[in-house]
Parts: sequence; structure tokens; C-alpha cells
Amino acid sequence: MCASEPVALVRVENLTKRFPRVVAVENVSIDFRPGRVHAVVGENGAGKTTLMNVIYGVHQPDAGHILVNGRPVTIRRPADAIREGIALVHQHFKLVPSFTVADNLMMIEHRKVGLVPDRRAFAETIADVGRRYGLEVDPHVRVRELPLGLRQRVEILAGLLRDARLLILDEPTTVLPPPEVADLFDTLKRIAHEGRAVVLITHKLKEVFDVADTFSVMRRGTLLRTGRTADSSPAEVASLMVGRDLGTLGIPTTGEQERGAVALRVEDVDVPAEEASPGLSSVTFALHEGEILAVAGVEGNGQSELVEVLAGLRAPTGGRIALGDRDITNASRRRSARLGVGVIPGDRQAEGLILPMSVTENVSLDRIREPEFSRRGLWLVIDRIRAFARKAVEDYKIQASSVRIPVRMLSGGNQQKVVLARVLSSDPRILIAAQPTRGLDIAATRYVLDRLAAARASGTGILLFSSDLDQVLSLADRILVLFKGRVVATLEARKTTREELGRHMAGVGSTPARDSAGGGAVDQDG
Amino acid sequence: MLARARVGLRSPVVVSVGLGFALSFLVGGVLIALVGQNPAEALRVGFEGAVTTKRGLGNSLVFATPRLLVGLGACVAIRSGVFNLGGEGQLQMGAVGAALVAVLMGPMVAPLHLLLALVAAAMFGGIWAGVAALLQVQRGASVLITTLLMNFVAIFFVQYLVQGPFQGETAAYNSSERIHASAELPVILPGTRLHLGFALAVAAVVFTVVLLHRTTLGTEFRAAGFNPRAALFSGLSPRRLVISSMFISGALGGLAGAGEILGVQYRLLQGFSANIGFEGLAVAFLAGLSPVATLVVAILFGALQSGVLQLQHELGIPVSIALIMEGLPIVCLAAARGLSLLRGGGMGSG
Repeated sequence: MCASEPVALVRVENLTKRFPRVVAVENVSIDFRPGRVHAVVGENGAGKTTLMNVIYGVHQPDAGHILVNGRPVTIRRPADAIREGIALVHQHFKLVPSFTVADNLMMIEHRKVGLVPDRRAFAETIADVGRRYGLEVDPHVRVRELPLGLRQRVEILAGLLRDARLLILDEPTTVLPPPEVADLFDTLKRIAHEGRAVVLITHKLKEVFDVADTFSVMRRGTLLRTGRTADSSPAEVASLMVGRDLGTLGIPTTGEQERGAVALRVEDVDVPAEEASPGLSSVTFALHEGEILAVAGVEGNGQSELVEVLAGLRAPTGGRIALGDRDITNASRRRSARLGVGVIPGDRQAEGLILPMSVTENVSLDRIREPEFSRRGLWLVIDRIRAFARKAVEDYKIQASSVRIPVRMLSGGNQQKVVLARVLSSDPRILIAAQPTRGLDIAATRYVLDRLAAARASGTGILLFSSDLDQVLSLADRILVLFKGRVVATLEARKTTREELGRHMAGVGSTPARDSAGGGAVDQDG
Repeated sequence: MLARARVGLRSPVVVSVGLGFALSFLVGGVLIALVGQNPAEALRVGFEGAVTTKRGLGNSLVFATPRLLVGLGACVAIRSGVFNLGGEGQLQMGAVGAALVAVLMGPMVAPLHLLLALVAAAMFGGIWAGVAALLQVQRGASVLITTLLMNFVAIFFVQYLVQGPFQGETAAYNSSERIHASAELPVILPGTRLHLGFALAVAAVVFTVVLLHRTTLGTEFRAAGFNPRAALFSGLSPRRLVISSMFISGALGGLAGAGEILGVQYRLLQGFSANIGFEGLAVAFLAGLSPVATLVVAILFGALQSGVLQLQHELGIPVSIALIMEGLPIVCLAAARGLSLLRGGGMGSG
């Protein structure tokens, strides 16, 4: 380390944390210094989150020390960490949705505000701190009405109100649309600039080099390297992260595909707008066999409504949906699943998996009534189900010590592979894939995309909801852009640029003078 | 939500329930001393009434039987994510079904009559629970509320029957005519009151374990219980699962009622249950919703009941002490759960 480095605010020394079957963190030592944004990078399951949970007192270390300002401390629970000036912004927020922003913050700060809080003064404090760090948020709005990006601001505000010296953010950009990422990074730099230390847990290289001063790379629980971003390169960090040559990575590109027959036809589908939802207005499109049709758009422009309508979770108030020549407008999820509508849900833990159940049970859940797996649709043939699960684990390269362990114990990428294995093994006619690579590392993302490409090659029509524009552009055949619940453009992926797509997503794509040659946008006025 | 208890002797649940029973003996001893009896003597009498004599052991198992069956029903429903608090009502309706067949039909060949009475009890209990399930699925009325309220409807329905259309002419108290002997659950341990119902209840433990872990339906129950939304996404029908789990749960409760009528009372009578249905629910919760543990806890409860009755009989010690002693392990378990929630323990997230 350079001599000019400031003394560490928080230092972990030879920290080790083991879980049953896995060593999550092995002998890790890192200094977090004031005035720095320090990125901790690694793939899913590398131990980043566990390390932070140890620092925050969620887990107890099996060996090693934590030092705050050079003084060894024992952190038994988050309250201890908070007392030491450490704040953690979780991947999944811990706010009360039905409370206002001010109420939530008052609850967190209950010691300071006393029994009879001065609400007005507190709201002003929130506004002041918000302005100072670029974290403006209306204190009187209920949290459930806030988009995820603003909820995150509230969490960061909570840390700042407590005057946290070390602010840890766990994958904070997962929930943000691209323009807000830049705002967040500005905020983080401001916070660090004040002499606080910011820790950014991420697996996105770009973020490391956009915002961090220093970085630490973790892989399989060990620390590989800590360094300054100025002295390193994305390629170097990436190769450390995945531990193999990056040349083999990348996103599968579209081949020249023959477009098949229409697999799914959606006509004039309407869903009424609600609070915090634009609904859907006259959504019309066709999905062909052997095609990937991407649905792009900033989150909250009707994507989740469209997923629910197509999956059979809610009936549209108007319009028609046909799978082949069969009407499925009002089909239940159960019926639509039987007719061949596979769904990879957007939230794998809340919608995709039964976390306490085993890999076997999760992989086979929708198929156990098939004659292959049960006698008379009732008695499980455990041997065959287990064999099927073992094959899925092998085929999908799911890293699990046994098919009998609960999926809760798998890393995010492996959990997603379980979802994928279940959905794809029943060979669906069409596949609705909602953010299938969200939160996954490079290798797992690549794997999922390869699988989708393979499903396309075998004739499945895929509707891919993704917020990753590069992914959309390189993997999809066509792109449909949703804005405020309407289809504002349908584009040929190969003839579209990132910039053009971005304009449509922002709702400013339809300039009349624009080139209207074949394959261009089919615009509808909003 | 209700995470399934980790099995193992050192799990917090087992420790807290064990401590709870120890505490309940301690408090019970103090209370007995307060009413002027010697606790050591009471302990001896209590054990005689519950464990150390053949008759006492039989009584314990007789008391355990309905609590076990209702508890198993609670396991099935609650692990499917359906809060069936209607064990008492389903037991009452099951008793009605059993009594109708056992009194009004027959006499006929014994096993057939008994079988018919048991089937009727299961159907009555199952349908009674099924009504609550339908109300939730069709009209959005929470099973938690409807089952609780329907308990009272069932209890008063039994009262109406035995004071009205179904009152026996020879009956001194508000009760039905005696059931035909061909519908009785035979005593299986001579010299005791232990009837075939206990064996059926143990078989029901096996049934429940097999149902939950070896059938498609049970796997789907558990999936919907843990995460209904994920179950829905993967193509299961939560509505059907609610209805079928409630039917099975209610049928088990109904069999508990049948056991009381066909094996203990031999008539339908007012107030025959004394809150067995609610105790069965408590038994299931203490057992962490595991069927095998439910068997163990139900026997513990049965023994406690039987022992304390003996205390009343021989020493004149009030039965309400039994209620206190039964309550303490439940309080301890709840406290342990609350404590682990406060510490953020229980479920480790990786």
C-alpha cells in the first residue's frame, strides 16, 4: 500500500466464515479507507455479501478480526455495527411500504427523535440531507408508491442520518434504470468526499471503473487482489473474477434465422392503469416460432403487467391473446402452462422457486403428475424424479453438492439455473423470460443466454424482457419497446442502434423525419 | 412464516418444549402445594394415572387420540399455507356424521357399520372444512376467520341436535340414543379403555407423512404453503390445493370426532369435546407441524390430561391446574420463536 493512504476506517483481518458445506469467506483482509469508494467485486457466490454481512453483524466470523479506527471491535448484531458507524443498504430493502418516507426514517432513528417527534423538523432534516447528497425524495410519500430507485435513496438517507462512517451498498444498481445509476454514483462520490468510506458490492465491471477509487476482487471466498482502479484495467479485473480467459465470453449473437409460424398473437390487449402502474393500452404484436422478441423499456412501463397477462395470472380487460389458433385470453396460469406457455418469472426467489424445498422438488414441481414421475398421478416415483433432477443438475451445470439440498442454499446463478431447468425441460411452445439474467454474474448470464438461444433454435418462441440493452440488441431478432403501457416501436434488432433504442425507451423515438426504410420502427403515437 | 421446525434433540424447538414441560411440572407442583396437597404424592398419583399403570397408560392414549387426529389435520392444512383453525368444528361435525350412521343405521355386520360411520365422519368433517375453503377461494373470505367462527356454529348445531330431533328417548342428559354395538370402536388393550381409534390415529400419522412427502398432491401442498406465488407461476392451481388440503384436514378432524363417539362416549352428547379441537391445533404447533412430532406431543398432552384427572379423582385437585400445565409449554415455545425472530436467527440466509 502507498504511504499516502489514509488510515483505515474499517479493517478486516484474516476473516473467515464457514457455512455447512461451504467456506463462504476464507482468510480475507481488506482496509476500507475514508474518502474512498471501494468496490468489492466478484461473481455470484464469491463471498462478497457474506463478507459484508459479517462486518454488519448479521453473521459471526469463525476467525479473524474487525477493526474500527484501528481498535478491534466485536460486532454481534447489526445494532453493534450501527453503533460503530457502519451502515448497510441491502439488495432487498427493509422499509415498511405503508409508511411514509419520513415515518420510516423516524422509526429507524427512534432514539434521536424521541417519543413525540417533531415531524416538520424531521422532514426538513431529510430534505436538507437529501439536497446535500443529491438524494432528494419527498418525505411525505408512502414508500410503496416509490419506484425502487427512490426507495434505495431512502435507505442511503437512513445511513447518512445516523452519520454512518462506512456505508456499504450491496448491488445497488440492480434496481436502477441507467440514468439513475449515474446519479447514484455522483452521490456516492460526494459521500466519500466528505471523509466517509463507501463500499460498493457489485459484479459489474463498468461500475468499478466508473465510480470506485480502489477495488478488491473476490473469487470462491478468497481475496485475490486489492488495488487502485487507476492502476488496473477492466480486462484485468474481469479475468481475475471469472478465473478464465475472457475471450471465450461474450453474448451469443443472432444468426440468420428463418422466422417460423406465429406462435402467439396478442391483439389490442388492455389493462387499466393503477396507482404506480401504467397498465397496458392496445398492446398488439405477434411472436413467431424460433424467434426471440425482446421487450425493452424502462422498468415500470407495463412489463410486469404484460408478463402477468400472458402468463395467465390476470385477465386483460380488453383484447385477445391466441396461442397458435387457441384462444388463451382468459386462461388460468395452470391451463396456459399445460398449453405450453413457459414462464421464467422476474423475481426468482419470490416467484420462481420454493426456497426451502430441495433442488429435486423445485426442478420437477410442474411435472410430477406426468406418468413418468408418478403412478396414477399421485404416487411419486422418487427414483425417477431424482434421476431427472441429477440429469438437470448435470445438463444445466448447477453447482449443488446434492439434489436433496434446499435451493435456498444455492447461489443466485445456480438458483436461476434451477428455474431454467424446470421451465425448459417441459419443452414449452413459447417462453416468457422476465429479466432472466438479473443479478447473475458473467458466466451464469452467458449460460442462461446460451440456453435461450438453444431453445430458439429448437423452435420455441421467446419473449425476452430485459433491461440490459446490449443483451437485447445482440440476442433478440426483433425488439418491441414499451412506454407507458403502449408499444411505441417494433424494431429489427440487427438494424437498430443502442442510441435509437434508448430514444424509444425514453418515449422520444418517433421523429417523423426519421428513416422509414424496411426494418425500421413501426411507430404508434402515444 | 411458519418455517418447519428443524428436527433434532438440540433444536431450539425441542429444547424450549422440553423446558416448557419441566416448567409446567414445577408450576404444577407449586399450585398443588398451594391447594394443600403434597406435590411428591401428587406426582406419584399423577404418574399412576398417566403412565405407570396399564389403565392409566390406556387412558393417556385415549386422550391423545383426538388431539393427534386434529393435530395431523392442522399439519396438512397449515403446511399447505391454509390456516385451518376449525379443528373443533370439524371434530364436532365428524361426531355428528359418525353418530347419525351409528345410531340410525344398523345393526349390521360390525366392520361394515364401523367403516360406514368412520367414512361419514370423515366426509362431514371434510365437507365442513371444504365450505370454508370454498368461501375463501370463491368469495375471498379468509379461512382463518371462517373456520374459527364455524367452530361455534358446529358446537351449537350439536346442541340443537341432541336437545331436539336427535335426542334419545332413554337419554337422561342432552344426548342421542346409544350407538349400535356394531359401530363401536373395539377396545384393543383388555383391561383399559384404549380403543381401535388410537391405532387408526397412528396409521393417520403414516398417512400424513406419506401424503406430504410421497405423493404429488402433498408436494404441491408444501410448495403452495411455502410460496404460493411461485407455485402459481409453475402452473399449480392454488385454489384446488386450498380446497383439497382443507378437505383432507377436515376429514382428519372429523375422524377425531368419530373416535370420541364410537370409542369413548357411545352417544352424541352436548359438550363431549371440551375444546379438544383447539388443543389439537396447539399440539400441532408445538410439534412444529411435523406429523411424527405431533404424535409425540399428543401423547404428552394425553398423559398430562389423564394424570391430572387422576389427581382430581384421588386427591381432589382441580382440573384447571391441568390447563395451566398444558399452557406453559405452548407459552415457552412461542417465547422461543419470538426470541429467535428478534435475534434474526432461525432461518440463516446465505
